[in-house]
Amino acid sequence: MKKWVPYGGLILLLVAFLGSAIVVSLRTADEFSSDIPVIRFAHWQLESGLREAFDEIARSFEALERKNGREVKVIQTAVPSQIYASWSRTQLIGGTAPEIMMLPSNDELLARYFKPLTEVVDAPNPFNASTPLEGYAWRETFLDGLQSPGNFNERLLENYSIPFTVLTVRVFYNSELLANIVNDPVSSGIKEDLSHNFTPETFESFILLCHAIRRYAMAHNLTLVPLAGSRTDSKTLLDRFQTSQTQRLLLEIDQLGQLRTSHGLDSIQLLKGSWSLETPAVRDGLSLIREIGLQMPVGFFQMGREDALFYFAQERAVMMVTGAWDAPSLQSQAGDRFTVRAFPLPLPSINDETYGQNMLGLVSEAGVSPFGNLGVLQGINTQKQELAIRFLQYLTSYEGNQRFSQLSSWLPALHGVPVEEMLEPLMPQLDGYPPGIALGKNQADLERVLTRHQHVLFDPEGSVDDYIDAVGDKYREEVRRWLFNRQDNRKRTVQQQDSQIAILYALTQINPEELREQHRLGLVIDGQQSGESEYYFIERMRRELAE
Amino acid sequence: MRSVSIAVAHQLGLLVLFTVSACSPDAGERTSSKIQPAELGWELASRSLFAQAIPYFEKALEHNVVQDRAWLEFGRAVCLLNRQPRSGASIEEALGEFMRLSQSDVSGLRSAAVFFVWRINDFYLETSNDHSDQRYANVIIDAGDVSFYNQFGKLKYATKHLMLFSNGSDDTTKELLESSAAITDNSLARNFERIVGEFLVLTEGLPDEGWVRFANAERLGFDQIRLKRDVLLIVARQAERAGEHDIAQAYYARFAKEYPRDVRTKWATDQVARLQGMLQ
Repeated sequence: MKKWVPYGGLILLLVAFLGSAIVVSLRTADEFSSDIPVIRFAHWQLESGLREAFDEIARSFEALERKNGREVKVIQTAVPSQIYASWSRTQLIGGTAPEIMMLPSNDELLARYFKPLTEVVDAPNPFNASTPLEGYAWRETFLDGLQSPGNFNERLLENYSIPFTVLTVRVFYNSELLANIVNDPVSSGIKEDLSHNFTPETFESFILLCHAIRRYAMAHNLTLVPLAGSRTDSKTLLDRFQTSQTQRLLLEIDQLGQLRTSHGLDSIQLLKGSWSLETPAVRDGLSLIREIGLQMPVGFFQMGREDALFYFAQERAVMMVTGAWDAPSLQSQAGDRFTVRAFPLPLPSINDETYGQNMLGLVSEAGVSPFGNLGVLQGINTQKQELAIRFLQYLTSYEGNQRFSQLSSWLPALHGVPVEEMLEPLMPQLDGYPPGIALGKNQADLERVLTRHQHVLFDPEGSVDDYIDAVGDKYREEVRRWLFNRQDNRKRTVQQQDSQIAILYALTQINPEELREQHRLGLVIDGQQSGESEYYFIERMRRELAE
Repeated sequence: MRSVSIAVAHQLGLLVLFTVSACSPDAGERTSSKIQPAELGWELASRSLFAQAIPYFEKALEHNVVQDRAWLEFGRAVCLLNRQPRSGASIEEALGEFMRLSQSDVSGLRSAAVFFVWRINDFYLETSNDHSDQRYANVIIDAGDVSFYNQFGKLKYATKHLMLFSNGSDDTTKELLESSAAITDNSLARNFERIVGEFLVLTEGLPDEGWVRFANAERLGFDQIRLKRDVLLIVARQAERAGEHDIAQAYYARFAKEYPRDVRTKWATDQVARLQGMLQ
């Protein structure tokens, strides 16, 4: 027996290899054992309930096709997100990729392996016949019209991806624990400030509720904080609050008048001294997020999602900030112990004595980009390509997306699709005004400068002044560095567009009837001019600032 | 050891999957052998896969294609210019090709090649930082040439001069501000008007002249939806700054009507009501 011990690993390897080979062979053999076309789709969403929802939608699609005299089999492959990038690359290069895949972020892979869907999304979705979305182009049925950067590739000038949901960040709460706190004698009077289900509807009432939770914890000698949050999910929430305070500032410094943040032009205004972290509106934004941060555990900005979830599941936090996609997972963690509900954390109103003066109004979430990124492989046979597109049309039809939402508890990606009552608080708030200037501009280096001293901002002993003292100069310097370093990339993009324009122009000359290429040519010219004009303007500012 | 064994087994499993799938009935359909090299070259290049397109253009040229041969050479040169990874040698090679093609007698191609010779020197190699030498204006831009690339060159020249060099009163600026009629191609004309508008607003602080140029651009219509929306709002806000409240109100109203789901619509609607109050 002992003589086999050194070979234990090898034996295990052989057994595992044979096992996986048999499983894979059987699965593959099953796929190709009949004449029924098989559509496979791969994604990396392993959240609770999602795979079951996709399976159910796939079965409904198969049944619908069968009713129309067409047989099809849809097979789902869920791949962990950690290995999805390498897995998808292997599949694509090996020629074994599924017909529908969540898209890679690499433009070259996209251009090479995926079918542009621009023409398809410009036509109506046939599954929307006899629904409120009948007659609309498929793209128009999505919340963003498939125009946001995640769904329209501005470099390749095509729609490649079909989203199936929309992601929002909300405050989830333990409804039984919250009811206990509100009904406890130490919280007397708080009920009048809350809605019928004890959630706050104004920023002031949210802060009052947090104070009540702390009093309750102290009175009952509990380790309990009002709000659990992690560095990733809290950032989205805190950004929304911070940008509520720079709405009017954006209006003031927006020289061109497009009322949307332009990182380049906003940065120039900062370098010219039109605004800084010292500007009252920016300072108020920092005060506001400090107020919210103080309701979370000390050091929350260093916590991962799992830490926050642990706090919440262990009932050491009454509320938790996270994405709508976590709703089913949170409830499954809570089990029978408590019910999880959600509310949108209310922003200060324009009548707020301190914060209202900086605001245009409620920050709208209309700019939110639907998510899903399912693309269709190109180079596969026409029948499979058509079926793959039909499956995506079904998944994102009025009825299909509504059913998907019911089954998964994820939000629909379309306009006007009704949702379950429990999902209503998670829906994006489309009413309102554009957000103001975001300090981090979604740039990793800028975010790093801002977060390096977060402990000063969110420490009970710290202050906004201390934070600005620690960060102010570094922030300005980093904006300068980022803006001017970005020039090289911008120039490279404009140069790439020279070649795109030349190719598209040549194609229109070779085939003047080709209107699609004419439109694409127009798109690149519009995009290139915007980039080139800003490139030169920033160069001009660089010269002026150097003088 | 166990985890290593499982990991290796997983990889071997993938290998089996690959092998089985490669033998599948439709695996062969994924690579098309029916498409001609020239077609494939254009297709890849139109998707910005420039490096991948070059061998197909070369293959097509090797096959002594007579028809569109000059355009194939142009396509290859354009791909060389921006292939990844970039190299000075391929830019130089592209420049040589464009110089050769600038002698071509194919309609539209000559001015395209001439444009690229100037563009590479001006924007890639930056062989001269002295924009005032007017080499492009005097030599490359031919007033009688109405080709796309001649107009494209004017647009590029105007963009650089106005946004980078202009002091607002130099002769070139005056000339450029009056030369919009020389650009007739719609996609170039609208962008020329927009660039002039940006110059007037951003560097000269002249909303009264700026809004008119943005309105001209808007009338010509953009392909990019984001620009379509932005320009409507820019006209409205610059017109308002210039005191043209009725015009501003009309543009805010158009924005709200045409883009009811935009994040800025509520604000635009507020402005319509506010200006209406002021006008009454």
